Amino acid sequence: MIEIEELVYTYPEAGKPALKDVNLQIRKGEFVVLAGPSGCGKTTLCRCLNGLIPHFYGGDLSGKIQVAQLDVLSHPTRELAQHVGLVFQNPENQLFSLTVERDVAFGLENLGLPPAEIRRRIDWALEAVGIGKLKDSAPHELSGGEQQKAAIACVLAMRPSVMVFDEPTSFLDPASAKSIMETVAKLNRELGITVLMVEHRLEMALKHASRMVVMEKGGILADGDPREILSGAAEKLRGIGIPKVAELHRLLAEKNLIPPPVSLSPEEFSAKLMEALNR
Amino acid sequence: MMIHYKSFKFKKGFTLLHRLDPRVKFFLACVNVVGALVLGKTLPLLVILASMLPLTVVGRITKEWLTVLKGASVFAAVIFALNFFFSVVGVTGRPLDFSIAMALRFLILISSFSIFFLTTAPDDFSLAVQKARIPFDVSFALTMAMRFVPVLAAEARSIADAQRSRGLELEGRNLLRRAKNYLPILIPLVANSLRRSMELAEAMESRGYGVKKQRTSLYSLKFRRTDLAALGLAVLALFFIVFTRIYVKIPTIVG
Amino acid sequence: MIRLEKVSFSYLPGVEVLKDVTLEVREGDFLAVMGENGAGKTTLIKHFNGLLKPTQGRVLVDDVDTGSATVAELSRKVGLVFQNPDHQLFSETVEDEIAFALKNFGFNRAEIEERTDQVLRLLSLEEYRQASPLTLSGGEKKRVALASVLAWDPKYLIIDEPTIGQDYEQKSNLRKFLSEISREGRTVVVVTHDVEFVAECSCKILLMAAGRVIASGPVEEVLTDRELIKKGALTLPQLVEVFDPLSRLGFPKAVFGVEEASELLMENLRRLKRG
Repeated sequence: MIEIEELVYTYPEAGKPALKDVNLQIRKGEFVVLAGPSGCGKTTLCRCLNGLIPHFYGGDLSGKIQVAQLDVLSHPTRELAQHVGLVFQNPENQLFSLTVERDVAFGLENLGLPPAEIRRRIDWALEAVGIGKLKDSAPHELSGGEQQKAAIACVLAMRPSVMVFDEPTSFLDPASAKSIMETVAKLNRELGITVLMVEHRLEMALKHASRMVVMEKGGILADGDPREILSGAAEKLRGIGIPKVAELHRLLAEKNLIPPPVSLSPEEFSAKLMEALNR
Repeated sequence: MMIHYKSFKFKKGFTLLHRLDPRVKFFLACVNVVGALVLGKTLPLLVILASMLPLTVVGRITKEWLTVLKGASVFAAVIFALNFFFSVVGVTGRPLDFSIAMALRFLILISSFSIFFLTTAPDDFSLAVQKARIPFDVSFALTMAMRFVPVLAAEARSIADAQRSRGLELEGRNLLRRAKNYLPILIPLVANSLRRSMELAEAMESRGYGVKKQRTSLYSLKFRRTDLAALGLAVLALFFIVFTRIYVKIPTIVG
Repeated sequence: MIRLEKVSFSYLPGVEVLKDVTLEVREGDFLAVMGENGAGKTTLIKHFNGLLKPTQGRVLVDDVDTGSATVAELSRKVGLVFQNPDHQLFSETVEDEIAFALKNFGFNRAEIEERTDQVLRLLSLEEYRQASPLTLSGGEKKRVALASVLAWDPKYLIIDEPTIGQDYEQKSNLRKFLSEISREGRTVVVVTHDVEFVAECSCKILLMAAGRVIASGPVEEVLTDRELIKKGALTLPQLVEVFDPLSRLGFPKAVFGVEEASELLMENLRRLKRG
């Protein structure tokens, strides 16, 4: 679904590249969490996936990016929009209309769909993210979590096969963040949408993920099963904020008190702990 | 700000006035303005101003409209004072009536457009602009401007709070100094607006803006019977204004 | 001491954002104001330096009613760091940014220089002294904003959502920094909904929901109380989730650090296995 080969990218007027030799293949239906410290190139990579880089930002790019069988370099962002949906960090700056309905309509109108089809897709997308009731509300009257769900609906309505989320919960409180993650997980599970999510809240995101990619200084540091990555050496992952249960599990596994791989959620850890006790 | 932005901000509603075609409403506001411009005396201008009151009652926006008048009246007073001063110094015939009329003109101008904006959703406004064969880019920019006025106002407020918390004084008599003190508010406001417009542009691009030559539209404006009736009334009012201007000798009621 | 007595506040008539809030921030306190977005946290702290005046009740800063003092006078004592550094940074250089408030508060040139040096060092910003604040990264901007307030040495330091947009390492540096200045005796109030961040600060928590204070107490009490966490729309810290069911085996509930947790389990696991 996503194929990136030897991608190197430098922003205009920047001294050094923001992405260095990135190779990444993501298959259909995967839920990939992308982690890494601030400034490691996560957001830059997201922008490459729907062509904002290089079409909107300019700069120097070499390598190959293919998303949904389309070559990103030869298709402008607005064409890629039907195949790759990008949801940004700040929900406020993604909604420009006076009602949620018209905001969701915006992308569909751009596609030139007939009004009846637009109406159908709006209802479908709002139901899918669970805010059907907010159709007539003004975006600025909604809570941050609801705004972000509206922004997701806007992108979803265009029926992309890949959705990319760039820190969608960083402005939200824990309860709203959890609800956003569950919504995204549902889209992945029930609609088969391929998900790439940049997220700092690993303790919430990883339990839904099928794979984890860690970036550092513009390159990929680790790529694989989240449990396996977190079971490995902690030193090099220090910057990303390993979930505390995973870290606890790793320390106990080192002493052979419970078996690896590490747990991603407290429930999982408790269950394994009990198992170990009863053995 | 003496005229609060809220006075012009669309207030959601489903009244007759809200449902009227925006083009008709715009025409209505223009008729008022034409009236204000061609009839330069206090009496007819008072009549025009008073005729807006029932309209605001229909649209349930009387309170907001009065707030606009209240805010604008400060400026109107200045206009009155200046005109009165210069016409007394000069040779104009009826200084008092003339000066009041000038102030009323201003009030009519402001308040008739506030009625328009209070009852017209930015999205409808943009549809109307599109119908007038103005490119979608332009009408969309207008909608966005309207959508982000309250956001910008909140941001300005937040910036002012941050700078005041760092000891910035915005009160005081020295005008030059005060103007200088607004820089710490203006600079972040402009920088943030630029950043915001970048983000908005990215989001628009990511949602396929401009991918097809011919965009469709979820809603379209439909001209209904009520619109026709309202348009008829507005045209009638326009005739009446022109007729009055040409054939009626308007009495001067003050001065 | 900052004291709120039965404070209610509304921006629009009829919509109360704060409801009958009474609280004290004592000298030397390390306090976290928590709750979901829209609970009234930011509105609350804007009362501390008089940016907002209560619609009912009163606010006293060292016995001075905020109604009778200017924001500038109050800010000299109560330093507020706002959530978004982009709302305050406007100078050409980081150095000027820090000097701005110092000039406003009437410090002389020598003092300004000395204090600027001091906070730049304190927050490891020395290399950016001549840089334009607008070109810095998000984390650096936040540090400049904090430095620009710390520079005038306010008795009370109030920080709104310092962890938003920060990565793990930046957060952990911030926690160390705040704990340190708190130990040195400064009063620190942090507004946040970041449960894991607060869990490892040894501070008191003031939990808000819908404009009211619904709980106040030490971290060990508030962040282990399932009911309260639910009411405040927060989540339990991860390790509390682990240790809560273990408490019937004699483990403590309030475990927040990984080191502490692993030691506890290592010591007791073998014992429990045998028993």
